[in-house]
Amino acid sequence: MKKYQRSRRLIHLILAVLFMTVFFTDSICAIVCIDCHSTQTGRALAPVNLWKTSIHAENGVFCNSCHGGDPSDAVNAMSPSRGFLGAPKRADIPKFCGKCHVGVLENYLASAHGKADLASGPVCIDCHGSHAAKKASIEIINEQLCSKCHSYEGSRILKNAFKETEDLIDTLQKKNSVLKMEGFDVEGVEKGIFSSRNDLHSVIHEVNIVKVKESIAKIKPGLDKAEASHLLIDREKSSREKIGVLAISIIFALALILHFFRKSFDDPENKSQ
Amino acid sequence: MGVCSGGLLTLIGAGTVYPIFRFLSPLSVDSHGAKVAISLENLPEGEAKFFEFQGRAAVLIKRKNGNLSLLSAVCTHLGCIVKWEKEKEEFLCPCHGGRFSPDGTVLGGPPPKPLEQLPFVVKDGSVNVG
Amino acid sequence: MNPVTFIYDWIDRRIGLNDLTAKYLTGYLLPRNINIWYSMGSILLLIFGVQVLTGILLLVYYSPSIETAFKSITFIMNQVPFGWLIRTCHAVGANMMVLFLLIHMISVIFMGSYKAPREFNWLSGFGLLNMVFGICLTGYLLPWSQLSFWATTVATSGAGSVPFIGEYILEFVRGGKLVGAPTLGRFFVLHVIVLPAGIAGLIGIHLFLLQRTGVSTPPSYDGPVEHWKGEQYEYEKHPDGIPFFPHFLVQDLVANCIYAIFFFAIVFFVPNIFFPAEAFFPANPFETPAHIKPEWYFLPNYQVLKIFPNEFIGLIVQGIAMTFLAALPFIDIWPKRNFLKRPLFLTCVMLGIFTFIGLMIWGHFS
Repeated sequence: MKKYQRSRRLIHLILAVLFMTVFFTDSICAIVCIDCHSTQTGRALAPVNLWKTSIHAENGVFCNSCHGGDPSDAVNAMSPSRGFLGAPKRADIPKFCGKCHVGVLENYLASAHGKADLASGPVCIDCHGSHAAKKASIEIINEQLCSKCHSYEGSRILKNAFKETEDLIDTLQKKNSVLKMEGFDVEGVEKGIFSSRNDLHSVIHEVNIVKVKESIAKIKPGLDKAEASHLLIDREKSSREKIGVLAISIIFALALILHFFRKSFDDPENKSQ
Repeated sequence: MGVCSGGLLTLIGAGTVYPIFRFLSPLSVDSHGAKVAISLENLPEGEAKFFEFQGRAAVLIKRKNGNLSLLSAVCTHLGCIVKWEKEKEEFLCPCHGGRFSPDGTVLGGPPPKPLEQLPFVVKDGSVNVG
Repeated sequence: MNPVTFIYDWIDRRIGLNDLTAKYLTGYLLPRNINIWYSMGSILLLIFGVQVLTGILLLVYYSPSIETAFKSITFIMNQVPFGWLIRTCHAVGANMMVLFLLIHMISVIFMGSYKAPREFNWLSGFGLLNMVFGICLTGYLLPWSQLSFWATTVATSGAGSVPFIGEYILEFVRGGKLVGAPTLGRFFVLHVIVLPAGIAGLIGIHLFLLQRTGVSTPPSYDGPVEHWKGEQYEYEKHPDGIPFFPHFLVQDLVANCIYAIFFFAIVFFVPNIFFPAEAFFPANPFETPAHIKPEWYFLPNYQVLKIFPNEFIGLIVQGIAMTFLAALPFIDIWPKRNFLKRPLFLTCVMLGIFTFIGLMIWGHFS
C-alpha cells in the first residue's frame, strides 16, 4: 500500500516537474519583457495591459512569439542578433501576423483588402486591433469600422451572408451534440459540420460578394446533408414514441381487463369485509 | 372478455417476437460490399484475386493473355470455395476435385453447373463490380 | 371425446397433473388480505427474465474487447433493427432490478416477514441483493465508454484501502494496476455467466424456501393467526385464504402490467435518464471527465467513503451496516410484527431509509 502510494507520488512529482519546466520557460518569456515594460510609462507600458486582455494571452502566445527577441535574457532581450523584430512597419503587418495565421494571410492577400495599396487598404490591425486582439467574430464587420474607408452597404450584404451561414452551422452543431448525447451515431455528421465551418472561415477575408456567395453555395450542400440526417433521426425518434404509446396502451388495456377479471372472483362474503 | 384478453395477449406476443425477429435478421447486403472496385495494378498476369462481393466469395483472374474474367468462387457442387491453379490456368475445387476453366465451364468432376459469371466494368485501371 | 381432454387425461393418468394443480395452483392457498407488496417478487422475476432475454440478444452483436466494445454498442444502437430497444430495455431494466429489490426488501421489513422461521428466506434475498449489485457493477463496464471506464475505476479503488493486502485485492479485481483489457475480460465473464447463473440458482433457493415455509400473513390480518412455536417444522397454512390460481396469479399479472407500463414509459419517453453524457464517448484512460459519479444505487457507498478521512474506516462502516442488515432476523427476535405497534422499530427503519436516501442525495450533489 505504501509502496503503491510512493510510486504514485513519484509519478506526480515527475509530472509536476515536467509541467513546471514547460510552464516556467514560457512564463520567463513573459516575465522579462513584461517585468521591464510594466515599470515604464506611456507608449512602452500600454501594450502590456492591452495584451493581458487578448486572445493571445489566453492561449499562451507571448510577446516574443510575434516580436522575436530573447525573453530569458534581460540584457540582450531586444538585440536584433537574438531575432528581435520590434514593431513592424505598416507594410509588413500582414506578413507579421501571417507567420502564424497562414491560411488567413493567403485569403486576405487575394482579396480586395489585401490587393489595395497600403495607404488606402486596411491591414490586419485596422479591424482586429493589435495587442488587444480578441477572438474574431462576425461583428467585426460593422458600420463604424467599414465606413472609415467606404460605404457600409456592401459590407452589410457581406456580413449577412456570412452570419446566416455561421448561425446555421451553430444551430446544426448544437443539435448534433444533443443527438450525440441521446446515443445517436452522428460522428460523421459532426465531421461534416466541422469541415463546413472551416471552409467558411477560410473565405472569411474575401470581400467580393459574388465570390463569397459562390463559396457559401459550395458549403451549403454539406449543411443540407447534415440537416437531412437530423431530420431522419427526428423522424426515427417520433416513430419510437409512437411505438411506446401503442405498447403502453395495449398493456394498460390488459391490466384493466385482468383487474376486472380478478374483481369478478370476489364472493359477496369477501366484498362485505 | 376472453376474446379481448386473448387478442391483447396475441398482440403482446407479436410485439415481443417481431422486434426480436428483426434484431436477429441478417442486415441487408446493400450496406456492405454492394460495390467493389479492384485495382488492376496489383494483379499480375496469370494471378487471381479473391474477394467478398455482396456477402459471397468472388474471384477476378487475369489470364496470361491479358483477358479478364470475374466469377463466383463458390463451387456449384457443394459450395466449397474453388482454388486457382496458376500453371494449368484452371480452377480446382479442393473438396471433390471439380475443375473449371477460367470462364467457368466445367472441365471435370462432380459440379453440375458452370461457375456463375459476374458482370463488371473496367474503368481507370480498376475493375468495378456491382 | 374432445381430443384435448383425451390427451390431458392420457398425460394426467401417468404423471398426475390434476394432483399437481390441486397442490400448487388451485389448492395452494394464500392469505386473504394479501396485498400489492406481495407482488414485488413476481415483478422481480419478470425483470430478471427480461434481463436474461435482452442480455442474450445483446450478446449476438456485442464484442468484448477494448478495441471493439464501444463500436459494437454504437452499432447495436444505430444499425441493428430494434437494437436501441433491446439495449435500452437492458440498461433501464438493470436499474429497475435494483429499485424493485430495494422496494421488495423494505416491504419485507415493514411486513416483518423476515422474522423466524424465515431467516433463510431473508439471507437468500440478501445474497441476491449483493449479486445484483455485482452484476450491475460488472455490466456497467462492458460498453467501454468514458462512463464505464471511470465509474469502474472509482468503484474498484475502494478495495485498495484495505490495510496490507488492499493493493493486491485491487490488482486482483482489475486484473492489473489500472482498469484495462484484463478488467473487461473478467467483468464480461462475471456478467454473462457467473453472476446470472448464481442469481438464477439463488432465486431457485429463495422460491423453494418460500414454498417450504408458506407465505407470511400480512400484519393487518384480523383472523386468528397461529404463530410458529419453534419446536418443529411447520408450514404456515391459510385455511380461509384465496387460491394461488386463478386469484393471486391474476392479481400478480395486474401488478406486472403496472410495472411494465412504468418500465416502458421510461424506455420510450426518457430513455436517457440513466445515461449521462460520458456514456457516449469511448473510454480514454488518459482523460478523466469532470464530476464522475457512480450509479444512483452506489451513491450512498460513494458518499460514506468520502465522509470518512480514511477510506478504510468508510469500508468498515459499510461492512457493519451490511452485516447488520444481513443479521436483521437474528437481532430483531421479538415475535410482534405489526410495525404500527412498534414505535422503536418504526423509528429505526425510517432513520435507516432516510440515511440511505440522504446519503444518495448528498453524494449526488457533493
